[in-house]
Amino acid sequence: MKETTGHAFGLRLTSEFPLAGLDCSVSETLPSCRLTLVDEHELGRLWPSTGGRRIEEERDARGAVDRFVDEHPDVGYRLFARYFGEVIIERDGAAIHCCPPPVASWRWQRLLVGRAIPMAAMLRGYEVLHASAVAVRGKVIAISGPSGCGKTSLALQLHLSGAASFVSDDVLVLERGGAAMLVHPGIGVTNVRLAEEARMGPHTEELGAVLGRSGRQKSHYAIRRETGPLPLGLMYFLSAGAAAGIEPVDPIPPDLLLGSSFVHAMRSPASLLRLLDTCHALSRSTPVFWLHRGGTAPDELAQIILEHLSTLAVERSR
Amino acid sequence: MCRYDIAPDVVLRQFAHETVVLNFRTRQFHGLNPTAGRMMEVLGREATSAAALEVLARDFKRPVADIEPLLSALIEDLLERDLIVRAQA
Repeated sequence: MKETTGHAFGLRLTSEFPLAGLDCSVSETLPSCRLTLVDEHELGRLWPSTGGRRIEEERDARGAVDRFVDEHPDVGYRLFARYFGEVIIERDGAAIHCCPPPVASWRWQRLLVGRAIPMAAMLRGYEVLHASAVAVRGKVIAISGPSGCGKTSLALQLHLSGAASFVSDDVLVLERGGAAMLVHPGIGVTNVRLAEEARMGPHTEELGAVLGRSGRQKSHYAIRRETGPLPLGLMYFLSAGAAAGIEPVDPIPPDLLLGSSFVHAMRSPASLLRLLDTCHALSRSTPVFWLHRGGTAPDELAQIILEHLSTLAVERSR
Repeated sequence: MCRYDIAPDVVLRQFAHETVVLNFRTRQFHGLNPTAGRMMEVLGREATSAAALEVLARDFKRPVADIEPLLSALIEDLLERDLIVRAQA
């Protein structure tokens, strides 16, 4: 079987199958993670029938399981998401075994890219926050906030403006590099809400090739992204706000940072301490701002951000 | 005379206006305001609670009698959450 090798989320990924959006340049210094395909029988063989426990579960309105995360002390973690299949992430994040349903690869790989590989990155020693990111003048601008608040739309509008390059969709992989915080780019795939796609109109062609559409929800594009780690410049936290605008978060409430963690359940004591120390370091090293939307469209918000960044650059140069 | 130590499975990190306490055993984070954070830090460092009281009264420029009920209430709260342990003075 021909293997694909590349890097994303700070990991050197070696895959038994083509992975949409994978940057196939290789960095030998990154921690490795092997991606394999298994069938249900093999998945059952890898996961012992006893000794595991459920640590997360979501059900739909009828009570059927939508998704779950199980933990086994010897094996690692088993993730299930309806329509996306199951994966087993080995305890140290060194391998992910995928058991997909019979659907297009870009579709089931959303579980892999959107959940499993970021979780493996955490198990391999990175901290992972829930944020989208672009790079402006060599520094990463992270956009955090609750699910569905428009992080991706804003990142894509910044990317389309030509002033920023895409770094990651919804997942911010952080590595502490001395005083600075480094951000590792995600995978070159982005998920665009249909309403946002309609608003972008012909500009969507600038995003990249369409991989597919999931029902009435989102379109999925292959997108060119930054290739290597970059220092984190600043963070915006999206909030509703009565009027659009930006204001510093000062002092930074620790729970704002702790609460933006991508992974909550799969936490060892060492991982909890790393999360706390990362947030502590972030609060000292990284300017954080509220970005109030105030009903403003993402393209206008992107302009507000670019003006804010220009103002900050002028202030720094004085 | 009592001495209190920070529990062995607990760590503190001071943020700008808050101290975050992580209890590894319960996997919970706790937030303390600057006054309570300073009290917990001094309590864990001083040989007895009476010595901690003296230090805190000086820090906060208040009489010991003003600080004592606040410290006692905090000690109860921290013990209840297993964030400090009573030790032999």
